[in-house]
Amino acid sequence: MDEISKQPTIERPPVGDVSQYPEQSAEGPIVIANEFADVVIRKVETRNGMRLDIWSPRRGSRILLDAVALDCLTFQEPELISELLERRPAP
Amino acid sequence: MNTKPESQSLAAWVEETREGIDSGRFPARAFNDQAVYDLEQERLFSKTWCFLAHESEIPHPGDYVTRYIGNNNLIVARDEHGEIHASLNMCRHRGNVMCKAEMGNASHFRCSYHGWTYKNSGELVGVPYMKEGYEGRLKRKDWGLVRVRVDSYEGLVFGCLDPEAPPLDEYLGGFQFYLDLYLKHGLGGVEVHGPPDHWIADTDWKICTENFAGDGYHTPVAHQWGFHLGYFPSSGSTHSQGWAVSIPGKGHGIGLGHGPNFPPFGGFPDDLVAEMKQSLSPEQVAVFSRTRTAVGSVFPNLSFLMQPFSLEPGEIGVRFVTMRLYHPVGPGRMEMYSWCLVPKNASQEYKKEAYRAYTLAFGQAGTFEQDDFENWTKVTQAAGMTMVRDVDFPYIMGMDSAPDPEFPGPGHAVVPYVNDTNFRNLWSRWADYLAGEA
Amino acid sequence: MGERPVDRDTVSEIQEFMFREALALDERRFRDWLAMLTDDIRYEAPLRVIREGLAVWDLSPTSRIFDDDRQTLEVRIQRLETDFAWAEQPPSQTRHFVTNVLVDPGDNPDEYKVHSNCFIYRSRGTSPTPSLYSLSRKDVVRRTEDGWRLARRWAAFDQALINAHNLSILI
Repeated sequence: MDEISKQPTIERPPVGDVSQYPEQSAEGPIVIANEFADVVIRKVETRNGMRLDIWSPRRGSRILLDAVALDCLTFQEPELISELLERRPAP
Repeated sequence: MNTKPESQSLAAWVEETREGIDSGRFPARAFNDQAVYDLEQERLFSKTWCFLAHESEIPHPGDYVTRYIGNNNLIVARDEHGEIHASLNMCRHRGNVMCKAEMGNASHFRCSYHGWTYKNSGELVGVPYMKEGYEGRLKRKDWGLVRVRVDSYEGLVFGCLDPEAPPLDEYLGGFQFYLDLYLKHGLGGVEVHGPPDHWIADTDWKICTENFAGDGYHTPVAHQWGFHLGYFPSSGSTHSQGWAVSIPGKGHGIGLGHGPNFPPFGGFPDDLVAEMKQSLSPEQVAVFSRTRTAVGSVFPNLSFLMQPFSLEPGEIGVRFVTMRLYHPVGPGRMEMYSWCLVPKNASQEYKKEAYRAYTLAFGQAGTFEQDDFENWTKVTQAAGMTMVRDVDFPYIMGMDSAPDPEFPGPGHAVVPYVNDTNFRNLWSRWADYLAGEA
Repeated sequence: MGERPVDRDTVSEIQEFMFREALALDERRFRDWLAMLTDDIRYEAPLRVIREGLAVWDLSPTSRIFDDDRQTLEVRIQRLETDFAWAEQPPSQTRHFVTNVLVDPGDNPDEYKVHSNCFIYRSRGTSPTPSLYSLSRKDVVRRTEDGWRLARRWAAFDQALINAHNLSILI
């Protein structure tokens, strides 16, 4: 539980610098929300490349996904997510 | 409480009502009575196919809306594979409401009480402290959200609480021919213009169903202002012209009003008319092309209206389609849902014009709707008076009329449009359900 | 906000205009009311939908309860002037309580954005239960040679399931 309760600093993640997102406007990060969860998504520039930063403000948890991880998600069955929720549903 | 004599007398009342319908009488009490309402909940709304949503309200995986069948709140969701499911909006663990919003998008629903998590198709997935708390005694597959049967026709999604009820196709029983007049406007079909208008009225749902099952009789009086000022292309002297069609034994009915000088497909843009001639059968075109107003009800509580409305007095104007659902919430009380349906393939300008005609005429502030609900609220109020318990209303128009042999569509079609035939069929079906003999 | 505030005289005039407009409706002087609108009036009430806090919208971008312009408002008033507007026969008693009036500069020099709260009490006949409507209004008023005119009415109901059998009144 300790690692979860640590609040990641979204403004300046340790792996790299937060890029301006979206590139064209200064509107800031994307929020994806529904009745059950909400996450803040940003493109993060590392020293040598980039990752997608997904942060859950409710949980304080966070994942940084690279292109390989994201690409791999695109060809998974939706059931994979159900399996993940089965493993660690909440809190 | 001693309920037996009451239920016996109610059963007798239902039997008397069934006999009365055959001779053109229907009791006023039906429109505002606690016992009748309770019987409807138990025997009618738990057995019939009830409308839930239009597919265009949940077009993408994860899209959902919350709706009702009887007093049951349901989640109507499109799962990650595109299939539509209806589930009771209640967590199987301790009964909390799952979806509190009227619409949304979610791959999974998570309960805000103990955190049980379900796929949007209703299967239980996540259980917090599964190992520590349940020690292997909980089987996920046994504790999914309570499922409701669903089926659809041309984008209309229906649900049914009775696993034994016949399939939707059989339930509609030929009324599909008439539903197409509202749904096949062009090769792309129709879509909702937006979320439905939604309001509470002290009105019995059945008054609305009956009115929309083809009550052409009320129009020149209840909506006289429209005739008087020329905004509705019909006249008091010719308004009775047209067909009343019912599906015997099913309860569905439609009124197809004609106008002597009303042009075929009047009020539709030409390119859409060309598409409609392809999307509809020749028989449907024969019926449709003569129709100025089509007002129909799918038993028990879903209705449609297609009508032209003009902002220039005397002109044909634009056709709009409204779909409405009458959700009963108590004796003589209902929640109204009112949508505007627009042809998917029509131009933005046409959709906008049709929608504006709809809001001016229907919806809560609509100039036709306002007068209807004023009248219906008064009818409901009157039906609740004690003296009315033994008062019947006459349903004797067209008692002996033979079906029109020239009519190309299914069902029982009679002329004129001003007729009680559809209503006798409606009440007869309603009484079958209340008697437990549907 | 942040812009130069509107001077007190203008605010006071606009506030009085809003009150007179409400009075015309409550006194059923509908022709007087129409005369208080610009020819290019937009009169709309978006539909409210219950959604999660972070939803992109909770006032529908497509559904409207009122979606009117001068022409359709004239139709509504013409209708009320016939003997067949059953929804208002006998007429409703209405009272528009307009409060929290805030005036900001508009997009044109002659126009002002007016935010107000509007609470409407409507009673019908001898029914002991009135309809109560609470609305947030974001209007535009315009200074013309003939005085103040309403150029836009935008009113959002504070209920998604509106507790009234009809809306035969103006907001």
